[in-house]
Amino acid sequence: MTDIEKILKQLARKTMLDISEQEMPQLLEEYNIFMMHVKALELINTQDIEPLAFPYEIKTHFLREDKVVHMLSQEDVLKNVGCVQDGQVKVPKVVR
Amino acid sequence: MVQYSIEELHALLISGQIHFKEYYEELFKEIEYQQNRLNAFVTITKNETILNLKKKDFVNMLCGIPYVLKDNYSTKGIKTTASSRMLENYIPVYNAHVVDLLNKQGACLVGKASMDEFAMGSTNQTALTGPVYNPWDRTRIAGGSSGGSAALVASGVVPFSLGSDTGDSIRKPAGFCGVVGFKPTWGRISRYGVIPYASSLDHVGAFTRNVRDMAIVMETLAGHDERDMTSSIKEVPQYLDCLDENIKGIRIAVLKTVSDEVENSIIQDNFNRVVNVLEELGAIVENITMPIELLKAVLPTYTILANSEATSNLACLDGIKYGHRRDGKTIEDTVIHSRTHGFSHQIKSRLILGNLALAYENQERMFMKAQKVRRLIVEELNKIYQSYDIILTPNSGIIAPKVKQVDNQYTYESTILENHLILGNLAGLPSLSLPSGFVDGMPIAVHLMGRIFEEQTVLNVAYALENILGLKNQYSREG
Repeated sequence: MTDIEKILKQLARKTMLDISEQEMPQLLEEYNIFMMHVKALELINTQDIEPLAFPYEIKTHFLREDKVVHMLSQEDVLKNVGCVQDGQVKVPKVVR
Repeated sequence: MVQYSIEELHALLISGQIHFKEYYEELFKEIEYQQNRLNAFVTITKNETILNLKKKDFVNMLCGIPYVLKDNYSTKGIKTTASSRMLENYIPVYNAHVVDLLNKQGACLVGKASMDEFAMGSTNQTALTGPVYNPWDRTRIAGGSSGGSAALVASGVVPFSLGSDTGDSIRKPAGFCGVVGFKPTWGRISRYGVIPYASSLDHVGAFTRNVRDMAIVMETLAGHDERDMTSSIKEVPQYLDCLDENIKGIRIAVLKTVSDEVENSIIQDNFNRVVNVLEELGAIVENITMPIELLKAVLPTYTILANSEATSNLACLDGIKYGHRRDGKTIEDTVIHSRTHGFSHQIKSRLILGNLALAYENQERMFMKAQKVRRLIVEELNKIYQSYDIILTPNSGIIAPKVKQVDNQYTYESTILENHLILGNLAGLPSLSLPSGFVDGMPIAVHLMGRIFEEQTVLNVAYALENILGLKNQYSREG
């Protein structure tokens, strides 16, 4: 396994994904293309330029009145859970 | 026949010239026919729609009007899959904000439309339910990622549908399918309840078969929503009432750096004709250019930002709370197994590369660099808007490609022409693709981009053009 393949495997793990041996050649190809994009941007002078996180400068409203609004019931919250027991989400044992 | 525009159908319903329930019976037969032909639906909501056919007064323009949602809009009690195995059986317990708005108007949802998985793609060939075909020629793609929504308006099934647009996912398929596609300013319409891809680029938008219908839909959807902190508090104009085909004195910039790349002579002639029409209508049309190095940076900037933001947005899909679940021995194993089997390779690849750009050691060089280049691109566009109201370009240099020619792989495509619609996402500009003609029996289009929050100007220019070009209300039922 090459160094790049090791890095991609580790990154996949950090992204909570597994990459099979069969998938690796395609991922490597995609990595190379991605790095071409990175290199293309390196050609552009961005000295003293501030990052732009949104399309334009906006004021967002993070704070609101401390009132209970738009509540979901416990029943609704659990409707799409794959494994429920006694009104709670069931997951594999944590403490062994 | 069911292929009416919103205004036509509204007039027929309110005058009682067509019977509401009989119309829907005929419509669902047509839906079945077009589904067999185009594969554009993920879910047909016939039972829910019939149940909701209550007595309506049809006073609101959208009351009783059928529509389709891209399958990334949350619909309470109706499956919402984002065309992915990860959400194959996911049934939301709340509606997207815009779905609530359409329900309030009495609009009738008839189905959820196919899309590229999690809206990542431009072909609509990556959906879990298979490819979507172009209504004008079934051997060709509808485009993506909102291909199902585009195809269902273009085949005449519904007069409007909603899509989402992160790169060009409404405007490209609209052009390929010969319908009007519009995404307003970023922040104009709430995205609450729309499954996110890249939040700084994602837009809600729509497909219609004419500009007046688009004005109706936009007026219904636009406005502040406290549940989306990026939704604007700016007042929403009455787009339909303000629609004006008098565009004398409007200043239009033809972006030559893009339009000069067109190689197809018929598309070039068509574009020149559009320019002539605008001049005849009294608009002031002038050629402008943008630095090529910035236009070439559009795709790299978009790719890095979109992948990075997707990595963050899709981190919540863990198979525990909802979505595809594959058990493991530990919670961590369960999450990894669920995500590994729930996402296709193309999604996994984008998430991994997004994480590469977000990694502490790479962030300055990749993610922040892309954000800085984004500022340069947006500043360059803003310079143009100091002198012009609209930037005009061809929507694409090609017609919809053949299904067999399409490559769904990650690409390093440096064509300025085929990537320039992304400018509208990087700068959040109101952007509209308008049918402008045909090449080899396939639709082509032009693209209009206005200043932020000046949707009305874009709609007015499109309206004036549409009235001359004579391509409104076109559809292809048979192909």
